[in-house]
Amino acid sequence: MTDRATAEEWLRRYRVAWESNDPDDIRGLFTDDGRYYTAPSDEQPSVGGDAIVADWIANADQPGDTEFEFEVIAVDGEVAVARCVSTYVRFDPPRVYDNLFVVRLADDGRATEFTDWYIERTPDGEAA
Amino acid sequence: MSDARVDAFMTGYRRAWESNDPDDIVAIFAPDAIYRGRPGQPAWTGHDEIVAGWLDHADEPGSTTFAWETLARDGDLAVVRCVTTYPNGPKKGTYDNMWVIQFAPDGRAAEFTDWWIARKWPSSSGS
Repeated sequence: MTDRATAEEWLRRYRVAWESNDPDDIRGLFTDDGRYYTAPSDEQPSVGGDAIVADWIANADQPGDTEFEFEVIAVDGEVAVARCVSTYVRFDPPRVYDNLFVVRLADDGRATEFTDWYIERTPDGEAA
Repeated sequence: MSDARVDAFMTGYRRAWESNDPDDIVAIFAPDAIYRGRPGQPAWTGHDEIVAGWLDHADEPGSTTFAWETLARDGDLAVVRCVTTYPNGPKKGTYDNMWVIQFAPDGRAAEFTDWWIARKWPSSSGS
């Protein structure tokens, strides 16, 4: 069982890691066998701290590249769901993504599984 | 545990998807409901806009297969994990959906958002 405060704290720490790209910040988000899915149909998730850190660093955004807002919308058992907006301000015009973060949290507040459902926003509202 | 509101909404949505009958469509939404076919796009608000938008984007009966399970419930909000497959036609392929449903006090949907993402095709395995 997790709770809203734990989920919000996890998201705050996710954002810290996003900006720092510090391996300890990244590793601390996940259980030792945690799984990171970059999309719901990701067939090759990063599994375990070493792989998650390596894949994160390989795809890292730089500090200040992005702005990020989140709201936890549901917590049920081990599952937390957050509605997020990620804005890549390094582009002109900025690129905006709507994200649904689906996180399964262990009792110690680390994630056993994370999936990023991201959808790029387009001016006419159609799929990118 | 099942949730009668989620079951009723999902059953009713699927019925409306297959029938495109305006009565079936409005049966699952509150009169002033907000419908988002994608999270970042303008919403359809109220029965008239929802029916018009739905019919404008209607799928033919029998053109999809659909599976779902409830991922999370929290108060009046439900998050439902779905998979939609179009075996043929212009939308051919498989789509992962997450439906976020906010229920009104009467059990109909007050707000609905379809987070849908097309699966890469063919499979990316082996890359």
